Amino acid sequence: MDDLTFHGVDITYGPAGVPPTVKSVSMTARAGQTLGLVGESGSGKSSLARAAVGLVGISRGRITLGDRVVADASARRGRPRPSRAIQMVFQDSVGALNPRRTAGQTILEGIAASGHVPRADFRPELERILDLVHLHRRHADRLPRELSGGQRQRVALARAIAARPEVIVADEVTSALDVSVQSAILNLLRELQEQSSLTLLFISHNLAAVRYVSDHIAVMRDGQVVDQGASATLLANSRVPYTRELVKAVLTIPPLTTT
Amino acid sequence: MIHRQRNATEGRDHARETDDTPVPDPRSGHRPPAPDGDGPAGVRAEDRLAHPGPGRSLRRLLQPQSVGLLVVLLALLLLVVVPEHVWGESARTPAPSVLNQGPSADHWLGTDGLGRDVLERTFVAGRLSVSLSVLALGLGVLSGVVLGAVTAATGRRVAAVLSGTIGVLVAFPSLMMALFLAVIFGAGARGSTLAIGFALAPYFARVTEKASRTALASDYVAAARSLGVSGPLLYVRHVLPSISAPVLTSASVLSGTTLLAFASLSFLGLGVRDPAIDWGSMLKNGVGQLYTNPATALAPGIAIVLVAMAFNAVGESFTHEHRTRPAGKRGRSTRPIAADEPPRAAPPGPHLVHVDRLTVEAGDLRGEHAPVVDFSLCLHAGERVGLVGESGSGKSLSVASLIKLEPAGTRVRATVHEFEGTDLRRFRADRALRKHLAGRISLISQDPMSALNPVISIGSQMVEETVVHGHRSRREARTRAVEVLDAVGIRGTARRMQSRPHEFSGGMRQRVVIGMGLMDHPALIVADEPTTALDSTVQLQVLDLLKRWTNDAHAALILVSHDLGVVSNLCTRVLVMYGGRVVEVLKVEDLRRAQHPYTRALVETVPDLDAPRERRLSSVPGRPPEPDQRPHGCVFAPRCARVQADCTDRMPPLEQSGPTRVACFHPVRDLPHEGAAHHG
Repeated sequence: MDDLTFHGVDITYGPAGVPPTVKSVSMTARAGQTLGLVGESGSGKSSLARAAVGLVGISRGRITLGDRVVADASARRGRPRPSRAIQMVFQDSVGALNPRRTAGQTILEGIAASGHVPRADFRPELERILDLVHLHRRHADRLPRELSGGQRQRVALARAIAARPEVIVADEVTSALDVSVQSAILNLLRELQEQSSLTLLFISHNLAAVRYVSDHIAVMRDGQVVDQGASATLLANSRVPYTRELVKAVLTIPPLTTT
Repeated sequence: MIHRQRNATEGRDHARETDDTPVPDPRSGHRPPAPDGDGPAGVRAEDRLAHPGPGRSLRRLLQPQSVGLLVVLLALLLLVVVPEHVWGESARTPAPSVLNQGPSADHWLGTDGLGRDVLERTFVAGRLSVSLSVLALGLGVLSGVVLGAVTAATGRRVAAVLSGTIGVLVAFPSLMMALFLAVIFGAGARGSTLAIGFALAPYFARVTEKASRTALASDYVAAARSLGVSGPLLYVRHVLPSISAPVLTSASVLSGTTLLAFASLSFLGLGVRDPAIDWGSMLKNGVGQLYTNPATALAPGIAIVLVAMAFNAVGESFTHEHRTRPAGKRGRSTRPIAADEPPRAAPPGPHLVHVDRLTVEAGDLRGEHAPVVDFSLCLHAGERVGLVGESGSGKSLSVASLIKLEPAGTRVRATVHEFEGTDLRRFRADRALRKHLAGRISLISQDPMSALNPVISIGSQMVEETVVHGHRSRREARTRAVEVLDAVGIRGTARRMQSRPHEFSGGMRQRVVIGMGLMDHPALIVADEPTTALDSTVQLQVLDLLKRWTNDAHAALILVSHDLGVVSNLCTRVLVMYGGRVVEVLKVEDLRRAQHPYTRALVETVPDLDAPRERRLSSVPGRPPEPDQRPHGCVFAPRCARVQADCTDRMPPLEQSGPTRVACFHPVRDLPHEGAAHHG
């Protein structure tokens, strides 16, 4: 198990000369722990996620997993080769699943990619993974449109888990879900992370959800990390005004008043 | 940025199943795991999973429209195969004794210039017309798909050239292309088939290219790539399947055109030539005898029309199939809906809104059902009430019906339905009432962009609305608009009035919409998920704005939201909806001692910044029932951890219980966090 580290990463879209969307971001997701990345729309958090799985090229800096280089701006131009060790789960569970492949086929693609499972064991492995994400076996034969939003997100998560990655990048995985389903997925993420000692990069605009899932939190604004620290202390007493503003903006149900 | 799931809009056939807890289901088609030693089980597992099973496809085949499709296909096949064998010889053999005869008992449609039976020839000609058209269409699809897929797959420069070429070719009328190509490929059946096929190719190439690009940019291809799937496998698995639907649609649209193009080429002498016959060449010969025996030209003409229609019907049913497959379980038993009760005389009260037992009924493919049942609400002036529930719980529909904006196809009944003492049940008929209400009630929707016209300046839109309602003159309206925009915190109002919606950020746009709603001093603001699409800091500002404004103007507010945090921030009272019914009504400060198991669970699913991280969030297993599949008895019973025998007998009425009004036979009365909420 290795740390996922961003070393001064810039991400630039469009032609040269355009100011970078993400500016010199340095942070580390510690091995076997969860790093929460919080920020508002346009803060560049999704760009970072996509860079970590090689879907977006970086224009400066390096991303490393232990001593392996995941992405390197000084390397030859062109899209980096995605590494199986880092898998991503997307916000939009409809778009993240091929509408013409059943849940089982989707997860099997992950199992095949893991390279750890002999073909003869595909079926038992599929069942094991369905159990892990609390899906029933009959769900394996369903197409994405025959599943609910929460179930689809479980399938997407199962596909990522099946590849036996070291890191999972979860980008706004609950923001399209109802609150009651959101809590189930958050619980599942924590459960999976604890069971298989995964490294998790959890990205969300929902500070309360990030706090619930993460050991460490990084706060992003306008493409830069403006604050980071252990989640227990960061939210309670940060000196960064923006973090305090975010904390203030979390709306919660009033606590019980004794009457 | 946030797209909320609208469960109710998706057709599904398993509302009974749960989201979280695997429950054995006798209906499921789950096969037991393969026994040990079953050879390469993995491969088979994948194959087996690939097919939904024979039962499903057989059932689909037996549907009426599929039967019709089969009949049409069979008729076309017979037309290609049979007449050639039966009349092939005689249709081609000249009979000098019966030249150019009109219809008779021997020759129903008469004979042509060489004495051959027109009816026989029409049938025999179908063979080449139909088969060559299909062949040309197939050729067009095949070459187009290859060209389009290559264009989508190649690097940027090559793709630009290919894509541009395709664009130029598409701009040519296909018949002209076909004529041009026919000259190159030479006249005759083969030449014209190639000509028409390649003339159609650009269309399919364009469609394929677009669909492939969409698929290549999708998250599921990204996921497959990061799993290491690449090259041809990526295309076969994830890209090509997604182009089948658009290609089929275009093929069905172009099938009739192909038939016609073929007939045209033959008619011009570039296509099928004697002794072979198709309808185009028959038309060519027949035109000369149009006055002696019109049937010689009419018969092939009618045949072309009929078969073109058949082609389109086949294509149509294919594409229809693609769009609407599994339509869920249709025609579920119709729920009996209580007969109209005589309207009770409501005591004239101080209520701004008074609604009693509002029920919304809808009829669709799934039969009659009632998405909202017995919705009651009394609202004082200046009061802020929240309406919470999961997607599909009927909260948006309830308020829409409340302010008479129910969607078409629904019927609203209520024993009392009053706004400012006016009976809204005669709303439809009363034009003056509608105009009056338009200024008294304002609606703020989730997506500000959908509430604003993108091509008209903000100022004009604000002014226009209030002028149309007849509340004030144009000049007054302009003054008021500046005032309102200032109030919602938009700086540089005079300049901003000229801006169009896209020049504002999301939060600013929502402020503008709120401002528009405030133009006429409304007494009631209905806000349907007003901040769901906004960032949290902006959300706080918008909520503050709503709070301040309702206080200042003494306006009432109904806030529809799935977010209990937002509701707690803005409202004093909460209505919790589940399965189309209000299951609990309580004050915001009582939320944590809610008595309905659903409310209690909902409260405990929300993560906050204070609770110890070690404690797991609670979740509500399962999902809400579809409106047409609500259970008998308590709607929440199937998902309730406290369910008892009497829960399934009848729906519990909304009754006062301690500080809250709750619709539950076994309300939760113990302290929070020790209750019966399911921890999962």
